[in-house]
Amino acid sequence: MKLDPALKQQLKNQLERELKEARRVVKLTLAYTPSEEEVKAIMARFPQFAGGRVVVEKDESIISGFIVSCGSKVIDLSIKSQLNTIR
Amino acid sequence: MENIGVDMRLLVAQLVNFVLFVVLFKMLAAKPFMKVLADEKRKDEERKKLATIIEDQKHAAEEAKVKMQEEMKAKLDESLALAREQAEHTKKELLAQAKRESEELVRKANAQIEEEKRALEQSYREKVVKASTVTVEGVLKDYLTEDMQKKVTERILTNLN
Repeated sequence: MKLDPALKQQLKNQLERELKEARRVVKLTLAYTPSEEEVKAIMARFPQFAGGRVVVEKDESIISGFIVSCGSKVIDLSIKSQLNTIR
Repeated sequence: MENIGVDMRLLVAQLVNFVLFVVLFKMLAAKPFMKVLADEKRKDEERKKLATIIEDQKHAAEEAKVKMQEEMKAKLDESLALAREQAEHTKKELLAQAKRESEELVRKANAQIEEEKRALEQSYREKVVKASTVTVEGVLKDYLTEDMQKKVTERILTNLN
């Protein structure tokens, strides 16, 4: 099936925008609800995610510690992952 | 002589008769008669010789028969000894092979037991670890307050340096 080149370009642009947007969203998962200072202190340690929009998520299943993810990059410093490593 | 019943004339006649008989016999019948006797004697000797030969042959045949029987017996004994030896050899080989096979089976069984033992130990270890981590997870979830979690986060950040 041959696509209209203009439509194809539009779809490509849209995909690039969404990907860029996804790259810009940084997800921070903790077992409790942190304060703004705590979030800033954590994100300060990860300059590679600077500039992104931070979304904080509470997940008690990680027990303690935190997980920072942005797109396909995930930095897992939770206690749960440490216990899984021991397993 | 007449007193004892002997007639002299008869006696003389008998004597003359006898002499005449002897002379006539000697002249006419003695030779063929003697020839017949000699033939009979010769035949008799030949028969005796033949009997001796037959007897000798009989003895020889008997001896040959005995010798052949002894030879056959010796060959039979030899064959039996050889067969016995081969059977013994085959028996030893079969025993050795059975022993090797049984040792191989034992070795394989032992190896299998060891392998299963290792697998069981590994499985047990994994279960213990899993149970322990699940227990620790449960305990930590119940034990860690928010303040403790904040302190853990601070500690992680400090260690990141």
